[in-house]
Amino acid sequence: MGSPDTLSDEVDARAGRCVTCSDAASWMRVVDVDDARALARCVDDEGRHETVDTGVVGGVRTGDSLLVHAGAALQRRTSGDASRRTE
Amino acid sequence: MRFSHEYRDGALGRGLAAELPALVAPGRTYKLMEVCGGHTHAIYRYGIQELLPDGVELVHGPGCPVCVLPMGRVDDAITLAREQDVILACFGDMMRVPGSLGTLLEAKALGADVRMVYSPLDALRIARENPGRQVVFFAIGFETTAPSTALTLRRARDEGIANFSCLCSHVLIEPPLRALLDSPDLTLDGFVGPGHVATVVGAGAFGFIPRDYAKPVVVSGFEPLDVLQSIRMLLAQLASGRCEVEIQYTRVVTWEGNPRALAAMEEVFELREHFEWRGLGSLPRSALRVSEAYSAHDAERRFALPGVQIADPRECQCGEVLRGVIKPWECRVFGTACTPERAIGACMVSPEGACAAYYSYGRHAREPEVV
Repeated sequence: MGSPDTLSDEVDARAGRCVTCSDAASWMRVVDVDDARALARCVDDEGRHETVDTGVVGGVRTGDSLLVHAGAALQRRTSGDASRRTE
Repeated sequence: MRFSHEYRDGALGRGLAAELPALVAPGRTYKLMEVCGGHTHAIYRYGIQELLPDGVELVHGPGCPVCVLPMGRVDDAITLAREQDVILACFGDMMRVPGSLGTLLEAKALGADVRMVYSPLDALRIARENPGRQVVFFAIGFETTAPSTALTLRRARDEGIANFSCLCSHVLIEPPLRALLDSPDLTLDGFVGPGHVATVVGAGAFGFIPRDYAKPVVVSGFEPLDVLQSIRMLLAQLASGRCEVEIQYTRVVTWEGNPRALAAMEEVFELREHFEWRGLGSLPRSALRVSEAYSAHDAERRFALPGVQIADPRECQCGEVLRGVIKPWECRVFGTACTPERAIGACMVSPEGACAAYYSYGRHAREPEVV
C-alpha cells in the first residue's frame, strides 16, 4: 500500500457534504489493504479515494465493499456477497 | 456498487404508496417521527410526504448532532482555536454553526487555525505533519461516528502521537428519544429509526421504545424506497395492533450491531453524568467523554475551556423544531431572518437540519423529485 495518509486529499471535492448529521454512510470498494495498520484504500462510485480505518470490521480483502462513515468502516460485504446479490 | 440506485425506482415507489391507504383508518391521524436528518432530506428530496395518505404526518426528530449541539460547546471550540494556539480540526458541518462568540468559520477568518476534515484520521494526519503544534479534533456525532473517533484515539495512543487530542462531544441516541417520549407536548405513533446508528448499536437497542412507551419502531435505510417501506411497515404494525422493533434496512442492520465498534467505544469513552442539548436541555448520561485511560488525548483535560452554558437566541425556535412540536416554517424567523446563508439556529445551518431541508426542498426551492 502506498501512503495511506495522503489519500484523503480529495476532500475538497466533497465540500458541503454533511459527514455526521445525516447519519450518512456510503459504500466504497477496497482497492488496497494495509492489514498491519488496519487501513484500507477505498474508492467510491465517483472515483474518489479515501483511507478507511478497518479496525471494527476485520478480514478486509481487495474487492470487498465497506460501509464507510467518517473514515471508518462499519460493515463489510465480501465480493462474493455482491455477486450473490446480483444473481 | 452503491446499493442505492435500485432503491430509487419510481414505479416501485408508487406501488408501495398505493398500498398505504388500506392501512390507514378513516379519520385517524398518524404522527410518525423520522429520527435522522438523512431521512428528512430523503422525504423532501423525493416528495415522499406527498405520496402519503391524508392523516399521515411525518415529524422530524433530533437525529442531527450538529443541530443539537449547544452554543456553549461551539464557544469552547472557538476559544480553543483562538486562545490556545491549537490547530482545531472539525467536520465541515460545524464550521458555520453559531455560538455566542461567532462561528468557527469566522474565527478562521480572524486568524485562528481551523481546518475542515472528513474524518478523525485526517485530523491525526495533521498532527503527524505538525509535531510542534497541538491538534484538537472537535468530535461530534451519534453512535455512528463515535467508533471512528475511538479508533483514531487508539491509533494516536499506539503511535505515540502526543500532540493529538479530542474535544469529545459525541452523544447517544436513546436519551433524547426518551426525553421526547416523556414530553407531554408531543404525541407520536411510531418511529422511523436511524439505520446507521443501528449498524453500530443494533436494532435491539431500540427495544425500549415498544417496551416502555408502547410505540413501534422500524429501523430504516435512507433511500426513498427504504423510507416508504418503513412507513408502510409502521402503518401495518399500527393497523394490526402490533408494537415491536422491525428492521427494514436488513441489508445493513442486525439485531446485535457491531460488537467491535461497541468495544472500541467502551474502551475509549465513558458516560458523562449530564450533557446540554439544544432544545432538550440537560439530559443525564446522554453523551460521551474521553475515558481516564485516554486522558492524555482529552482536550478537556489538557486545555482550559470556558464550559459556559449559553442560552439559544430568543427568536430562534430550534428547540421546538427539534422536539417536533412545530414545523420549521412555523418558526417566527424561518426563511426571513434565518436562512442557510445567514442562519440563526443550528437546524438551518446543518445541511441535514429540518429547517435547511424545508428551505431547500419546500418553500424556497425547486419542485420535489417525486419517485
